[in-house]
Amino acid sequence: MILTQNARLESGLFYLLAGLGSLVIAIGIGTALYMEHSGHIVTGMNNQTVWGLPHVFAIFLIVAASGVLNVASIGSVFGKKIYKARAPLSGLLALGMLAGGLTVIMLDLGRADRIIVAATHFNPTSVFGWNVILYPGFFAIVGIYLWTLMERRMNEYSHIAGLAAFIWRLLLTTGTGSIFGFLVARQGYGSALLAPLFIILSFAWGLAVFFVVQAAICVWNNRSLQENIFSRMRNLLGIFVAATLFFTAILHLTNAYFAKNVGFESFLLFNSEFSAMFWVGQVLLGSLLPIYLIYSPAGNKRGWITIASLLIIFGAFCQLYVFIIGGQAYPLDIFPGYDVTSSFADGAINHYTPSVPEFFLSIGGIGIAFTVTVVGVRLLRVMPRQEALEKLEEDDSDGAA
Amino acid sequence: MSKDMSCNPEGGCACSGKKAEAAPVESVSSRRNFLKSASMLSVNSLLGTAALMTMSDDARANTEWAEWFQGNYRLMSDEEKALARGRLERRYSREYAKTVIVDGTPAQEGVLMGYALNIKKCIGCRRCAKACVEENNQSRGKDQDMEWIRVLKMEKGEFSKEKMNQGYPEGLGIQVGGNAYSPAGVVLEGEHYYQADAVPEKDSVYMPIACMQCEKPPCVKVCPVRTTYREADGPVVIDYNWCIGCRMCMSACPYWARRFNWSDPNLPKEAMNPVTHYLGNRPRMKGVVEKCTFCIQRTRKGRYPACVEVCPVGARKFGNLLDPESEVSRIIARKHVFRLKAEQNTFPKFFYFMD
Repeated sequence: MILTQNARLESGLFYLLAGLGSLVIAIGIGTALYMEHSGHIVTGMNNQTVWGLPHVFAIFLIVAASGVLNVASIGSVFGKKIYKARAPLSGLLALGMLAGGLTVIMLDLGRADRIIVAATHFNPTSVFGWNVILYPGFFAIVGIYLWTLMERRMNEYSHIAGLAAFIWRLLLTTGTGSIFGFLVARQGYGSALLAPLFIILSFAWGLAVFFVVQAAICVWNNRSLQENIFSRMRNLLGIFVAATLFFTAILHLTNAYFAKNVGFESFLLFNSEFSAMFWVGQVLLGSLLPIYLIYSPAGNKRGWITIASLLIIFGAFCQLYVFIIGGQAYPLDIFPGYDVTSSFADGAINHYTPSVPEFFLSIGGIGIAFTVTVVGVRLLRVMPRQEALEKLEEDDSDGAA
Repeated sequence: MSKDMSCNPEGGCACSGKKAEAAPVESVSSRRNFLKSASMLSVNSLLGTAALMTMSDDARANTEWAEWFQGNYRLMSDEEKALARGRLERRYSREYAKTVIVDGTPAQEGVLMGYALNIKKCIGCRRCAKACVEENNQSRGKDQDMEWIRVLKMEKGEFSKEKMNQGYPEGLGIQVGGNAYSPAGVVLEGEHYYQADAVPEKDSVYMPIACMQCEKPPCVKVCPVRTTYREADGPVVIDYNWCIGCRMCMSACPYWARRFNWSDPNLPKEAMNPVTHYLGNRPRMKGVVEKCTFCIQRTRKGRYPACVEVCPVGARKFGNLLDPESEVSRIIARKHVFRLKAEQNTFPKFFYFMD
């Protein structure tokens, strides 16, 4: 009787969450149609800040999607069985988040109806063009990987599929970072460091998202995370966040070392609306505080690690906002050393303000990732069983010993 | 296959073992049904949308439908190009209530278009920018104005003795052209548009900028669908119909020469220039990028660009870089010439010179 009641409650919760996710998706799609009808004039973007809030959300989803797959990779590629039990959830999350991110990117195109052109025509010199291959390729490979994990007959191929997915996700994040890394015109971009930076960002953001989702699902199913896996994943998260901080510092120090970029770095880090977002949002709340929470005694409590993960996600949004919007707000320095004014706003800092439609389109992507995860968890039963996990934990401990 | 996992021909799984294992069977069944329903829904939605769009009685919708299916202009056969231009001519003529020509004159052999601008002569009157707007059917209006030519104003005496205290390190009087601790070359706040009562203003120098028509254009490299490309006679052009509006080219351009149509362009019927080129000044649509093309609709017919014609002081020169006797070639050979951001190695075909 109690079992039936629990099942009903679980079922009701599922429909509630799926409905909520669908509502957010509907808002996103409705907004995309509105933008398609009115043009991007209803956004805060302009000829200087050509990429706005939707790109912040989309790139977060895409980068974190590849990072969230790491949990599966550690299991399949590096042979840690206790992680492998979580591989299906990791793969499902990766697919959901990539779907959300890609949808936002596609719907933000000036002519979203022409996406078929991008999908069927390829320019090998365009990094954006490479990504048109990398993203669907990720879908296909992770899809196959999930199949090898969930279909017993295919289990023997899961290692090779996992390896392929791991290599592909590295390529994908390299490609995403290189979209900016290969832009020579803007002072905030054009650095080979952006590819490895994006890879390490994906590790940290992906694991933070996984922590949050795992905690939510544990609450939903009235389960608890085993100490062994919790402590390993927590330590890994701390290392990843510290590494993101290190790469970020190197990026800015390198840039600031070149006299030609001193003005830009000074603007971004000390003299603009992005400065507080960088120091408080990205560095303090998004990096240092989570590292403290992870390695302090508070880190033994699951609740604090969930909070640390949420802070990392918040820091990720701050970082992308500073990087994407701040990098464009600073005008092109066509005549270094001169103060210039023109008939078309040359030499002026651009003050971009995101509009409501942009925000709705952006959260539409989150809605897609959320709904795919909720529906997938329910239909595909990707969560490992408690008893199986305990057995894997024992096996893994034996193996480690 | 193990006995435990065998399936019967009717599709249902007959798993032996405990009763509790019935759950996975239900799960497989619901998963299959879910995937089937989702596929059906997707296919039906696509078919429905296609049906709605093709059955329209609206002539404009039908033209746009045909345009939607046309290929990249660069790769079209001559017949396909003619068809595409014909469709546009009919549509534009109807929309602007006048006979509109969409020319397709291809690149001329033995021609490489080049431009030279005398910065000592420019008086900052911005007639070039206005002529460009009129010639090239650019959008007008408060929020929708677009200019392919920008005229930058810079103050004379940037490096004068009075400004020595702006040096680096701050206050030590070592002149580097602005204070290195606050961004040099940037107006942080203040007047972004110069509004002069009369030009040239005292103590000001002017620097017009437009697309540099680079020989190695970064914008062409980054375009994911090759909608923008360099024509054989030099100009970098855009097939507006093929553009997806990703704005990569705008971020890649070192000269900030590209503009995006944030909404439907505001082009009054009476002001529309009906003599157009497919790759040049034909009316654009919202969601695509545009830029200077060296007035391809004029220059391929042997005329000067509108900005050259209108310049009251003769600061602007245009010609064939492959002809040693052309005006622009002679300037390059004899004058003190430079190109903007030459260190980028994009090899602009837009030169600046001084007498």
